[in-house]
Amino acid sequence: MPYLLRDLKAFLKTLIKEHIVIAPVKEKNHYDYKVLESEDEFHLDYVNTLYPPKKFLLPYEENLLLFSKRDGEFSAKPLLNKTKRVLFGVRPCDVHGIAVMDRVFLSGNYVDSFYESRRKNTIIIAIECEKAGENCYCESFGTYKVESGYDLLLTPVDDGFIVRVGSDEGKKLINELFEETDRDEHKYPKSKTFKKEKLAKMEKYFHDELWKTEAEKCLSCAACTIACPTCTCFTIEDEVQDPETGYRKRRWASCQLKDFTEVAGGMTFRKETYKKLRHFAYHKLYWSIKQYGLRMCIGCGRCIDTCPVNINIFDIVNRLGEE
Amino acid sequence: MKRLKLAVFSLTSCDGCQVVLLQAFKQLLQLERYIEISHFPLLKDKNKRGPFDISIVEGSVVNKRDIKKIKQIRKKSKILIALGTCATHGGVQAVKNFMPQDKVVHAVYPPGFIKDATEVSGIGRHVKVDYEIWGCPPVAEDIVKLLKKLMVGQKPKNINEEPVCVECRALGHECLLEKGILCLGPITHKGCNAICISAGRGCYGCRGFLNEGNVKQLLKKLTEMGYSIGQIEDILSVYMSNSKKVKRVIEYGENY
Amino acid sequence: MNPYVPKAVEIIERHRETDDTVSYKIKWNPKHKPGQILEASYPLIGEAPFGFASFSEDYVELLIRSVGNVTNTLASLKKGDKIWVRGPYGNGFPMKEMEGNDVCLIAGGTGIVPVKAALEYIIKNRNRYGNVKVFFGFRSPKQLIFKRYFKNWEKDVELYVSVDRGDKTWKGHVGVVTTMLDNISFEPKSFAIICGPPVMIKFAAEKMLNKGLNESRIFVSLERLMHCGIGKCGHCMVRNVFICKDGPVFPYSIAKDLED
Repeated sequence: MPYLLRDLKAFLKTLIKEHIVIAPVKEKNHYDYKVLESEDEFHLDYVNTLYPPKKFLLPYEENLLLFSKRDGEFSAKPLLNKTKRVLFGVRPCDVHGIAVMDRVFLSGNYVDSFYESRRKNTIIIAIECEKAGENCYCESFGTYKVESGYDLLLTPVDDGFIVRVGSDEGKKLINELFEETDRDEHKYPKSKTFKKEKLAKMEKYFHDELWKTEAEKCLSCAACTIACPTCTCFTIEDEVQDPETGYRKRRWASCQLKDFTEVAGGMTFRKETYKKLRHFAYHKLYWSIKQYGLRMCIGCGRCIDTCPVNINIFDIVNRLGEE
Repeated sequence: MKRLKLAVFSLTSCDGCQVVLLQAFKQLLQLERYIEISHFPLLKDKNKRGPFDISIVEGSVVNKRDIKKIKQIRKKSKILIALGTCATHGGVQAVKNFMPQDKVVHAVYPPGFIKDATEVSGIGRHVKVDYEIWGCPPVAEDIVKLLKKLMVGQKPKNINEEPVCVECRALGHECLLEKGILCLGPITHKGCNAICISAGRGCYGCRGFLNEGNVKQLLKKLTEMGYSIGQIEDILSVYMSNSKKVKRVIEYGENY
Repeated sequence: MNPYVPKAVEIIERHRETDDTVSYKIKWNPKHKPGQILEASYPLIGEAPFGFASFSEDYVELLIRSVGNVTNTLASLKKGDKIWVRGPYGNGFPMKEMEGNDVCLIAGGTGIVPVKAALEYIIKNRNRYGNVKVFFGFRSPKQLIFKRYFKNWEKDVELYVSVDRGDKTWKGHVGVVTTMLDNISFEPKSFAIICGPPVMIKFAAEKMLNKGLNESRIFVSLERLMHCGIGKCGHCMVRNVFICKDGPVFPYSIAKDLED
C-alpha cells in the first residue's frame, strides 16, 4: 500500500537527524550531490545533477588494502567502508544506473567486497521526474520508470508525494508523517529517444565511417566516462606511506585515456580515438546486453551535457548507416 | 635499509619550486631514517658534492652554464627528477624563443652583459630525465608520493599523465568551455585538483602539455567560442610554447 | 571471501631464465587448469597478471619478465622471500575436450608459459592424448626459456625448437616458429594451442587452418592489460568479452573477431 507524504521538509529533517543524507544541492549553475547539513538546502527544482551519484559507491580514489609490516612480514588488511548513508532525491534513471553498478560489482563468480560494503549501507530514496531535460533519453529504455532498486520511491503530486516502499530498510523510514493511501499516480515525463532500429543493428554499423568522422572532434578528455553513471572502470596501484606501510588503492580509469589498454612492454591495443569512442558507445548500448543482460546506458544524457565539443552518442547512433 | 642521498639543484627559475619542496620535506621529516638531504643550498650551509641517489632539479636551461651544470648533475645522480614546469618544459621564460635572441637580451640587459644565452628549454633536452613532476608551482603531494615510491624501489610511471578534465569532473565542477570560458584543461596534465577551474578561472596549462592532447580541435572549439587566434596563442605560449604540437599552432595560427 | 586480498606464499626455487626473465617455483597449490591466470604482487609495489607456468599439485611455477614497475621488483625476489598471489582466474584450455586426439602446441617467447602448463598436464595424462607435437620459438639461443625441461619433455612428445636468429652454438632450426610447421602434416581432427605475440598467434592460427584444422579446435591464449582479474576493472575488455574472465583462452573462431 502506498503512502502520502505531505511534508517533505519535515521528513528530510527526521532523516538528517539520524543519517548522513546526500542529496542534489544547487551550485552556481548546476546541481551536485552533497551531504545535507539542513533540510533547507534541498529544493526539488532540479531535472538532474550534472554528475551521477556513483562516486558514493565507487569513489574516485579508494584505499582497498592496508599493508603493514610487523616482525619483518607484511600483512594485508581489507578496508571496508561501512558508513550508513541515505542517497536522497535520486532520479529513476540513476536508480537504474546503480542497478547496473550492482550487476557489474555484485554478479558473476566474484563479488566486489568494497563496493558491496558501501552499497549495503546505502539507502536510496528516489523521486520521479516532473519534466525531462534537454538531453534526456530515458524514453528509449524506459528508465524514467523504476520498479525496484530503491528503498523509497516518491512521486510528486499536488498535495505532496505518493510514496512506495521498495525494501525493509525503506519500510523502517515510514513514520507518523506518512498516511496510507490507495492513490496510484506516477510521473513519467516524455523525453527524446534513440531510433530503436539502429540500436538493434549496432553490430552491423561497427565499421560505419561516422565513428571516424565524429571522433575527429574528440579531445579524449574522458569527461564522458567520468560523467557516465555506469562507467566503473578502475586502475589498481600501490601507494607508499612509509617503507613499512602502504595502501593498495584503486582510482577511476577511462577507456578514453591513452594507457587504458597499454600492456607491459608498451604495446597499446586501442590507440585510435575513433576506436576508443566506439568502444564506449558499444559497451554502453550493445555489448553490455551480452555481458549483463541489460543496456548499460540509462539515457541520462550526461555524456552529452558534459562533452566540451558536443559529441552526442545518441545523435551518432541515430545517424548510423545514413551516409 | 640504506638511507637515500637526496640533492636539490636550481637552474634558471623563480625558486618557487624550492618553497614547495620545503613543504614536501616537512611531510617527509618522519622518514628521516630512510632519506637524507645531502645537498639543498636553500635549506642548509654544508652541502655534499655527491654522488646522489636522487637529484631534484628545478629551473630551466637558458644558457651554456646551465647546460654544463645539468650535465654534471646527471653524471652524479642515479635518479634525476625534473621538478616544475621550468625544468620539465622550459617554463614561462621559454616564450622568448619566439623572438630573435639579441633583441630579447637587449630589452633587459646592457649590451655585452649576456653572452652565453641559448634557447630556453626543460632539462630533458640535454640529459635523460627519469621522472617529471609537473606544475607551476608543482604540488607538494606529488613530490612526496614519488619520493616514497622511490624509497621502496618502485620505478613508477609519471603520475598524472591524464587531462585536467578527469580530476575536474571527478570533483564535480562544471566545464568552463561549456560556459564560454577559455580553458586548456583538455590538453594539460592533471594533478592540480583543478584549482583554477574551481575558482572559475580557465586552465592556463601550467602543468604542461599532455602529449595526447588534441590541440587542433581545442583550437577550433575556442575560435567557435569567439576567441581570436591571437588570444588563444597568448595563453598557449605562457606554458606550452616548447611543445611541438602547440608550437605549430602558434607558428601557423589559423592555417594549422 | 574478498577476492582482492592476496595470500603470501614462499618462493621455493628461483631460476634465471634469460637476461630479462626469471622463474619461480612457489609454495602454493590452488586447484587450477592449464591456461588459467593469477595476480601476483608485492606490498607497496603493485600487482600484475601472470599465467600458470606449470601443472602440479605441489607447487606453482611463475615466469616473470622485467618490463615495468611491478615486474622489476617481482623479478628481483630471492628464494625464501614471499610473493603475494590470488587466483586462479579465467577459463583455461579445454584439456578434457582434447582427449583422444592429436594435439599441437605452439608458443613464441614468453608465450611458452601457458603452453608449458598444458604440456605438463598432457604428459601427466599421456595415454589420454594421441600424437603430441610441440613448437617453441625464441628470438635467439640466449632467449630460451625453461630450457632445462626440454630433454625430459622429449621423452613424451615431439619437441621442435627454433630461434629467429642463430649463433655459433645453435644447431637447431632458424626462423620464426611458424616456419617449422611447413613440412609437417596434421590429422584434421587435431587440436592446437597457440600463445605468443598477437602477430605470431595470427600467423600460426592461419597456418593450422590451412592444414585443415577446424577453427573451433584451435585455442589461443590472449594477453591484455588487467588490473582485477575478475571482470570488474574493465581494462581487458574487448567487445563483449573480458579477457581475464571469459578468457584468456578462446577458440580461434571467436578470437579472430575480437576487434577493438
